[in-house]
Amino acid sequence: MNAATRAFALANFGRRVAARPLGFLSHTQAAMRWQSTYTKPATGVNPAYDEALKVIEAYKTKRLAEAEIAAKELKEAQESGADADKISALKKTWFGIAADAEINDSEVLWNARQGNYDLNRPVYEYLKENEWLGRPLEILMQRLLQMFVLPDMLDPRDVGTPESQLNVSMPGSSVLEPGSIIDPAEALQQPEIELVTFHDDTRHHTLLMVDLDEPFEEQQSFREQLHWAVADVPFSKMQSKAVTDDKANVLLPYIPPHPAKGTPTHRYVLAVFEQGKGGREQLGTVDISRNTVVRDFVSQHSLRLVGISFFRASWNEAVDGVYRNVLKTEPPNYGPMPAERKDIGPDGRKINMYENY
Amino acid sequence: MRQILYQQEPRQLPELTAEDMDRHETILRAVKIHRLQESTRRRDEREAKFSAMEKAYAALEKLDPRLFEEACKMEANITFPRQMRVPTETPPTKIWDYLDTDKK
Repeated sequence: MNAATRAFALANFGRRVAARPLGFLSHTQAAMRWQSTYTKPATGVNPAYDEALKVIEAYKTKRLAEAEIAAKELKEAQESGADADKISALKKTWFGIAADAEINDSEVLWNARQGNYDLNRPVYEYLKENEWLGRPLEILMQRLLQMFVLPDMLDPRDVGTPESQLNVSMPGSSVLEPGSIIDPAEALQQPEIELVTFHDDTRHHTLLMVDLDEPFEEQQSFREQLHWAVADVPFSKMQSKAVTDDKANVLLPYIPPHPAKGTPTHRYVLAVFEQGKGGREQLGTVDISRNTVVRDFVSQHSLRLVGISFFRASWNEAVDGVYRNVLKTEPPNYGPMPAERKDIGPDGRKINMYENY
Repeated sequence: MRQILYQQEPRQLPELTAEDMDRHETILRAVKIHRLQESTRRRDEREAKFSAMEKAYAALEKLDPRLFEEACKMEANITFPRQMRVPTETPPTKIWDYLDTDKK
């Protein structure tokens, strides 16, 4: 990433507030001490390198001093109760200087490349967010719009671009690429959800999983069906893994994807919405059913989309198992029926084609 | 030319280890910082000089309008400014005394 794109990104940081999850940690993420995995190259081999280290160190010291001044200004503004715009501008200034101070450090860049982010430090926050804004967000938006997830599920003008990266991984697999086709047998258990956010305060979110292509026989068309709904899921900078087990406010328990035979490939969308009042509102018990339309639900509870991802699945024999075991119904078949055989008689034997046989 | 094209081996690039690459990238970053600081310093110096000029003109305008008009006049169709010193290979060590206000 060259200096021009980096400077541009620094200036525009904060319009939106990405990487690999660190193993399978849960809410104890904050308790583990962050470790760097960098080994310094030897000095004394290349004199230009030794001088370079001095230059970088001097620049870092200078910028950290400037960052301290900016931090003091920010603190004064916060204590004296200035308006929110001024505080956010001061915070952005401080953040930019603090990130710029350490961004030339080889150790920081190495750790970022390995996906080892210490989110307590501004430079790592900046690098993680920029990693998401680079390719993953572009791919996500491309897939969402190409496969018409956004116009079908939500108004693209309301959504804009999602501000946080949503990492969905089926149990036993790595993070799903948005739009990828999976085997329904992999999705029998609820997936692991991770939302990468950069706000320090804990905000409450609603998680929805929607099947956009559920066949609707009455109207000979398709409609949405909610497979999973969990409200009041807490996310913050240090808590990115979703708590979706019995402790959470599960509005609709998880039902595995069941794309019926003969239907086109179904799209299953996982969306995380920030709840009202900047995430402070708690939903509690709400009026929701499997046939609730997502647009109505979102507008009714003033939800704001922050993270979205989706996958696709088609029918196979495992899906019939889902219909019989989970949904307790006969698996439907919307595909073509086998052709009627006119050459077999009532006794099961083949009818002769010629009379004088 | 034939010797260069057909008989000489093409130059081999130096093979750098990962540590060498790390050092190389660090050096490039330090050079970028140095160039940025130099350009900032030169820009600040330039802007300071220009703003000093602007302030001087503003002060002159208040002080004496006739001198101000004369100062604002620019000669047309010039190749070299009349005030330019003749270029020399042996300039004095002290070119201009900024603090000496009596000098013309």
